[in-house]
Amino acid sequence: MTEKIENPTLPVQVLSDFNSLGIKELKNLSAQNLWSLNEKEILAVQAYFRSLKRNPTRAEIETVAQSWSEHCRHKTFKSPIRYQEGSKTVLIKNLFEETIARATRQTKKPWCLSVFKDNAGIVSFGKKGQWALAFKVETHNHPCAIEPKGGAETGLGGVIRDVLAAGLGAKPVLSTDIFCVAPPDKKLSLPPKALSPERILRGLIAGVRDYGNRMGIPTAAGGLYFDEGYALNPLVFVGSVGVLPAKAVKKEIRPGDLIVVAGGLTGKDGLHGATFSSANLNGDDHSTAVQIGHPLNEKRVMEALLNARDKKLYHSVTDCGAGGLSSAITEMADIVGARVQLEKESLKASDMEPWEIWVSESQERMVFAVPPSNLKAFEKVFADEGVESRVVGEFVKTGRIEVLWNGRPLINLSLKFISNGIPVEEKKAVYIPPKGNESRALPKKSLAENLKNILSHLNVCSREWLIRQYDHEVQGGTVIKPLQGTRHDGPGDASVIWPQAATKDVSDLSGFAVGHGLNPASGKLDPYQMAWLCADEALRNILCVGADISRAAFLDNFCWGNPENPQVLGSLVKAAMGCRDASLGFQIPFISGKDSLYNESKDASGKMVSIPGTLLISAIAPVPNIEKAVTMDMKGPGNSLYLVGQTGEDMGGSLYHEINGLAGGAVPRVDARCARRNFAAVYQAMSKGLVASAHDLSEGGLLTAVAEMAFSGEFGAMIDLDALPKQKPIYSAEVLLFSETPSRILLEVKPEHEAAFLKCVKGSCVKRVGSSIANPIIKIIGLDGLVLFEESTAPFKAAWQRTVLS
Amino acid sequence: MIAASTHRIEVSLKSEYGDAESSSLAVVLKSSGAPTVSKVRKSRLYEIRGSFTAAHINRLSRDLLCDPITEDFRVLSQPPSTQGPFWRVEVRLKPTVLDPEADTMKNAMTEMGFPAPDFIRIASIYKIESKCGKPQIESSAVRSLLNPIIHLYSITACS
Repeated sequence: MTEKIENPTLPVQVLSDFNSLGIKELKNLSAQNLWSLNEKEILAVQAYFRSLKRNPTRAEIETVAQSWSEHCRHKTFKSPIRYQEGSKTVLIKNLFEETIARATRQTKKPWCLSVFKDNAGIVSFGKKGQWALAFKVETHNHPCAIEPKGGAETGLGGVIRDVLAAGLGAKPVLSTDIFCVAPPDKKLSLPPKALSPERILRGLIAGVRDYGNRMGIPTAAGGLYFDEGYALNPLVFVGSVGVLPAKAVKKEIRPGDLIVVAGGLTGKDGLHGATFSSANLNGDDHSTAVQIGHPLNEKRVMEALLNARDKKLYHSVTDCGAGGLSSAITEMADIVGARVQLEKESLKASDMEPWEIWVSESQERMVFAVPPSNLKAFEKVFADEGVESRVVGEFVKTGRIEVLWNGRPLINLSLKFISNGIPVEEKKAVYIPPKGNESRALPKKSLAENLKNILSHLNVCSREWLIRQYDHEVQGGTVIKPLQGTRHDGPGDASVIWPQAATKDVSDLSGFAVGHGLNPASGKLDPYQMAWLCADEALRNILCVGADISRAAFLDNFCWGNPENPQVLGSLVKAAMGCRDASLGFQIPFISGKDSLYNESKDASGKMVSIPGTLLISAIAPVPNIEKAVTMDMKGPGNSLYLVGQTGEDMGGSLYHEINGLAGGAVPRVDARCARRNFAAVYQAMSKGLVASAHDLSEGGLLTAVAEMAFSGEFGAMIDLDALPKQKPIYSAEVLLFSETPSRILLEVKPEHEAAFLKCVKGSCVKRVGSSIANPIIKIIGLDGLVLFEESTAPFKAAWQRTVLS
Repeated sequence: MIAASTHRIEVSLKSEYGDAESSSLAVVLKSSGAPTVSKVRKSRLYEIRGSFTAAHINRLSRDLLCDPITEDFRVLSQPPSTQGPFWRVEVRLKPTVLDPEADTMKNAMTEMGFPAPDFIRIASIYKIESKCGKPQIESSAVRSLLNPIIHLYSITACS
């Protein structure tokens, strides 16, 4: 165990001339101390202390800087935006409220137990609704660009703690990870201190592997996306799903509750992580912001917390993330107030200033509100797991945050100032649609060549080398695994988890599925449609494994460039509007979200480069009976193949365009009404056990999906292009085979189930387009009735399995 | 009473076992600017300071630090004996960076009944066989084996 330092005595640092400083000096001070407070904000802080007729302590400014940081406050999403599109200008008062939050309210889902309030979104779960699922996905981009392994570890550790602190605490049963990095096979010219994409990717995988595997939580729902735009700013989305009793969703702090910190000791790790998220990466040494994860400590905290929760020993809990104790205690004290004696916090470094203790981001710590009568029992539960817990103060009904350091006042701020004192600043956003230069002449490469190029494309090819590094079986509930098929190596659409390790009830066969939608390529052409496509893809992924999508919930994660640039903000606004409309269109609420902005850096030539605006939509939905879950591999010969949804001429942003060097085109549109009807019918059929396999049509369109289903099941398939349901007549086989029209799914139905299946899907757009065959070949009958394509699946599987890294 | 001293223990995979990590590191080093790398062997170096007898150190190495089936350990005298020619790259975390492995090891040592160590530092050792010069080895190591923001490193030629 790291040694504890006794009796730290460094004095309180008062900024004795703060109130008399001019604006230039204030700005310098903010920059020097990494406060990331802008001009208006630092002036507001000065005005507040002038009104109090005293100078602030450093700790007070640090508290305000943490609370007002982009990371904690989501300033861009919550401040007014003057938005211009064409000749129209509108004032958006609060982007979050007017888009995502409004849509969630309007969908009125009673099974949403907690949305956007707690550390994670919470929905009802289980046969009798006696359980709840908490789901959170976080970004951890900036730390991962500097130290990928440490960043990925602490990112995952942080999101697991979010789920541990959802309600009174959920037991994590699934971790998710999505990385966006630059292609490692491209020679890129990077600035001297930037890490190579390959190095970043290896580090990220090692971080999630080492932390997730040691925590004993399956990592089974991930993704990997390559684009050169992520060379300087890789994106890392880590998520966690936990299960908690429905009764433990509500938490409430009562005045008189003790503030107890439990977990690792506090050191100098990761100082200024929260304010760091408001800053651009500019090549300077940010070693103070680097954190290293300690999964064994977190595992102990997790076990103790769940034990204490079941014994009802505390009233509330939150995790110490960005901003450390400062953010955690201030957030918890929100409507009450808190009095803290900071010298009672346990330290592992001897030279810490009091403000450093207050904002340190040492990992694996949680803050609890414990009624005094339970303290002894609480301390025992944690001590039994080898976790130190210490009382550092109490919650009091003062509406203030008061912190003492060895009896001397360190912080005395009104919570009202912290939560409402931030100056409102109107931002400007302009949306200029990118110029479309539709190129209709399709190149004449053979279908087989195109298919091979698509299957071996970095964004499609097998992820087995990565998935195999993660333990996706631990806890024994991964009923549908990430890799599917006869040889357990096919690309599953989603995993299904049966969380019996948490519920300890094997008679309840309720499971859940998690899927993701990510499509930055379409975002470059149309961010509004990107949101629709992400929602659609996330939904189809979980529908394909048999999830009840009428009970689905979404999570949003926005990663964008610098919002001070009106065009960047314009595309962000457009994507948020897309989220709102997709949520209303599909009638699916958002329950939690996160944004990470300022993802831009200077490249080797000194030019500021921003990432492509990237939206990740994650979907979670129950699978009411895990025995009815479906996989994507073909199950046998002689079965019918049904295509759900019409095919259109949707080549804009498609992979086919990319590999053939074509640009532009319109991004496909989602017809939500039609898609909802089709999806509902498909779910009906699946829940009756009438669907043998299902796979969504995404990058690479129909031919790619057919090939994947066939080679995973080691059967063949015959498809008749004439039978495809089409939006309008299409005469190009390439378009029919590679178009990326959304909302489409390919289903396999056994002959004995066909009549019942057709009854289920009556009235929706589901049409028989071919059949599975015993011989492992793919045969396409062209529009003229002649065989257009007849190839063995083996070379395609080989192309798909050839990967850059392994 | 035994006087406190620093003990250095190197743990490496027995030569009869294929070392997948080292082989893949060779590929990575080659592609990051050291094209003539022919072989890499990775090992772990534990530096433990405390009042330990030779029997303590032997038991600690055998029972905690190495997997006796696949790994060998050597208690090193100063300076470490070497068999070259190769480049020896030593990588350790900066003292300001949390070392969870050392932390866990301290815990385990106390639980196993050893005297509490004063400190533990764990380093990775890479023995790189290559005709490349030091600058090439250094730049390729910085690009692929370590992160100068959190690591300290040293590179020595062993012959």
